[in-house]
Amino acid sequence: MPVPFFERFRHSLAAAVLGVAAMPGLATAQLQLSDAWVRAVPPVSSGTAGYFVLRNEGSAPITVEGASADFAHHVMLHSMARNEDGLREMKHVGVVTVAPGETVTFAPGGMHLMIMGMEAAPAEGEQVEICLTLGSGETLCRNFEVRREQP
Amino acid sequence: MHWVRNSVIILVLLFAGGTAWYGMQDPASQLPVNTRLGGDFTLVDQDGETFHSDSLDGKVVLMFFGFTHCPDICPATLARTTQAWRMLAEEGHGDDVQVVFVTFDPARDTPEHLKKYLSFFGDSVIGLTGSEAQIAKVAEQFGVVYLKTPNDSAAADEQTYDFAHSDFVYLLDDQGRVRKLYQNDEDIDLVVKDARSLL
Repeated sequence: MPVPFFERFRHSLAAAVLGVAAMPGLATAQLQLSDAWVRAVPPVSSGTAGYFVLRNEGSAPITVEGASADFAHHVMLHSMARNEDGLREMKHVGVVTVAPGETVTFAPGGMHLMIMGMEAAPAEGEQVEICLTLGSGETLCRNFEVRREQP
Repeated sequence: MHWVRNSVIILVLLFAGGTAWYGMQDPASQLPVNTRLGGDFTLVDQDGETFHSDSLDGKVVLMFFGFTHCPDICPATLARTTQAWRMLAEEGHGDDVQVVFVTFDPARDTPEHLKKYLSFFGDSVIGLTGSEAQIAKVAEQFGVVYLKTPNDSAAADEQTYDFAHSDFVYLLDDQGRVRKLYQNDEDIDLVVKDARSLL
């Protein structure tokens, strides 16, 4: 039996919607990055940590797979948690998934960006750009404020 | 049975009175001495001089262990403890309170490096390093555990290791006795209040 014209149209519409959802550029529009700051550290330090809040305002999960910054050799997603012996331990996190409607917070004592290999530590009050690499291949870049204390 | 009821009332009143009396005492009396942790120690300060714990006698001390290549917890704890010190200094207790940072990474935290690093947090911090053996001994006295862990960074040319470590802040009284342990994210106002109660 031939598929009615409307049914065919509906399938095309669904395909078109899915296609838009998969289009590059959309994940960055749906992922809100706020409260971004980097800890001000002594000039002699080669590393520091970055913090922010991610909110997925879309309808599909968004993954963050890495980060980069011009002022550091490498930036990694790290977790900080107590291990089974009660010790604080940092671990590299490969992928962070933000579910639709969910918020993921990077904060002192928890998940953070570990920023390593800085030639010069950014000074308190400066703004530094850090880019997150999303699973979609897009990058989400924001200015992070350098400050001594959590805002 | 009146005597039973009267006895109960008297006991209740005694208990209530005792509790009220205890509550009115100097808050210092509410911080028990921890007899399991602490003790004398010898390390090396950020000027490269031998440092003995008896030079802290007469001061209330906020002490913790860490390493300067730690990007998250350690600078945060330094910022918080020095903030507590500033709050007490504003009350005129700057000379009576001391922040002490002990590294368990002497290979990278040399006296010179500690001096440069800690000056960022003001001149209120004594930074202590030493031989591996000296540091291990102090850590054991304070029940601090630290384990060197490889850092899975891509840069092979850097000294990349971290530590999994205990992260308590210790409040010591003016005789070097441990009076309280805090989580590193403890409310600053409480730390200040406790420290003030020992002054």
